[in-house]
Amino acid sequence: MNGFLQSNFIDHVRKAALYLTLLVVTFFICFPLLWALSTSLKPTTEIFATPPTLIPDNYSLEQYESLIYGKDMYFVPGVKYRPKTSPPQYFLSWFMNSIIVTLGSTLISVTVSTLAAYSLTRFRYWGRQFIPYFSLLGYMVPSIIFIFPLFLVMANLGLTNNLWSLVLGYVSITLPFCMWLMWAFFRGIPIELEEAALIDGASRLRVFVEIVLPLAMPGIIAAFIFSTIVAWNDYLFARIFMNSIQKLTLTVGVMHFFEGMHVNWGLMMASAVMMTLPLAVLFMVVQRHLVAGFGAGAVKG
Amino acid sequence: MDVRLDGVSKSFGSVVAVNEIDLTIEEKEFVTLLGPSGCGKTTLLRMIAGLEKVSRGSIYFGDNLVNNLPPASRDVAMVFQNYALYPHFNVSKNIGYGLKVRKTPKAEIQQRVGEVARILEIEDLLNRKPRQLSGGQRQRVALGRAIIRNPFLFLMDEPLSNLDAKLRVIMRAEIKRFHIKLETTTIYVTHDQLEAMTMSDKIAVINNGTLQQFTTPQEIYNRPANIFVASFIGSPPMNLLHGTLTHDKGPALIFGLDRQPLPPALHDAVRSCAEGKKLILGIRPQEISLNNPAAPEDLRAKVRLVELVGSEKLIDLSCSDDVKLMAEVKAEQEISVAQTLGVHFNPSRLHLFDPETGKALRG
Repeated sequence: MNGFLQSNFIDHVRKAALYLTLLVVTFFICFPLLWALSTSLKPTTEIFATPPTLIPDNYSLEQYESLIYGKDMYFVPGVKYRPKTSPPQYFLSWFMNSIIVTLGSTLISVTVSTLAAYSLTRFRYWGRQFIPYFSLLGYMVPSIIFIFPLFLVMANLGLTNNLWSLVLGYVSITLPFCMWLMWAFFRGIPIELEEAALIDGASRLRVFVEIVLPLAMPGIIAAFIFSTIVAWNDYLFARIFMNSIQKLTLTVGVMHFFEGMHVNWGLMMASAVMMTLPLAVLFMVVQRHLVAGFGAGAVKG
Repeated sequence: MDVRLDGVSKSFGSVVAVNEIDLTIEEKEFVTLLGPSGCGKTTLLRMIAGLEKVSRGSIYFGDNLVNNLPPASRDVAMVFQNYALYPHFNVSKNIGYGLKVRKTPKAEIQQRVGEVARILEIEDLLNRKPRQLSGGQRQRVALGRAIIRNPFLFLMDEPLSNLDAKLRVIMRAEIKRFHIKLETTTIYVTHDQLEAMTMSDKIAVINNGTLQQFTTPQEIYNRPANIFVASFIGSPPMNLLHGTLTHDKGPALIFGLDRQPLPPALHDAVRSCAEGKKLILGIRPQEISLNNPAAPEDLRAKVRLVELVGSEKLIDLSCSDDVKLMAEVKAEQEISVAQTLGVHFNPSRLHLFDPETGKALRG
């Protein structure tokens, strides 16, 4: 009886320790996000209040207002906000640019890598065994090494200061890994499924669309997420390929809120929250599909 | 429509998987391709299905050369070893997919899926996904997918090898029943001689990509064409005794000190062979009787091991150091280890093989 109680007690302590650790780690990870959210919701006057407040005393959407309506306010005379140094009027353009290059590069990257990986796993030709491994070699070198040659290529193509340069740049980074990922994934899909469908009378294309793609969906989603994150969070490419302020993406654009000695923390934090939102929403939508295991049991269980 | 293979070969690079196979499968026949793993039987089946290109030779369905037809145009159905059910479709869609692809009206698909499900007794599983099915149920769905299209030829690639032993026996009988009922020509690949013997009208024994013998199960068992077939078919395998031919006092084989006279049926076979030629004598364990005490003409052998397998006993014997035998006798016979017994071969069941060519010698 005593022993039972004792072991029960130890169990409780162990559990408490576990949860405490998790709590500390979670707080550690979440604090910057919470701080950004909190700052973004404060009126400018409260941002530098001492002592700092984690939960704002006064809530205000003025930071967001400046970001979203900044353009109108900037050009229409007589409105309450007229930025002198920071240019929040470009925020929406940056946002759109980010969305365009992210979606564009992700679509290209995922489509091409899926088809390439399918070909690598299903057709016989020279080099198909080592191409996937070679494709990863590029990641052994920091991308800063590639950026200047790539810039020269873009300059020759006349694509500098054009969103296409970013789309192509991101594809060059994400494509090899996506292809490798899809390659590994397709190898796990038994070829008999496709053969069965071929014998059932389906064309190669139909087999690919109706049998292979649904089974490869978790892999495609993983590639999609990877590609999205890379493009959305990139700073280096956008910093070097783009030079006019309207053509910037969010990551580089918001750096304009740093100006010499003056840092507009309110706008920075509001931008940070706005930048996080699309990805957060995307993950929530997509995660379910990612976790849903693919057809275990189709082929022996 | 019959299926005719004419010198069919397949090589992967320098490896020859299937070598010059000629085979004619008559309409409505159940033919088994039997051989050890890696012998090329699955490759042969895949070439018939159109999943693998033929390197040399021709495959005819009736009078039509089908070498270059894609699988979809061959009107064959295949059951795969791992069933290959579409994991994201439910049972009903799995079975009906072939009809859907061929643009059959929805109502007809539904009706035929229902029919097939009734035959296979899987009506209550139609809405399940493959992963929710047991091995035997998956097997039935895979069969259903083949049956529903009503093809002229069924191809089955070791369909029972993923089932446990008990289920295998049940499904074996079931597949055979379907064949009797549907009368569809069937080519069945297996490495299990028991499946081949019980189900087939004819067996094609294949080894190293070449056809060893193609005939009825009975013939294969009773008159194996060569050493490979003789040792591959039958359990326990046939005893193969290396001996020397003598014509002295009538044809006989000499094993060490023992002399085994050949029965009259085999006299013709050895008439042209020179005195002292090395030959192999084959005798199935079931055709050996053990006598205690030994009769004068019996070989003498010492019992090394006795294994009881239900109604029979397997007796491991040694005549001399290099002549070992396996005999199968009724379980009631009293035999103990280290006993010396007289070994008698059923003379009408002796086989002779030429060790140089591996072929059987016949009168």
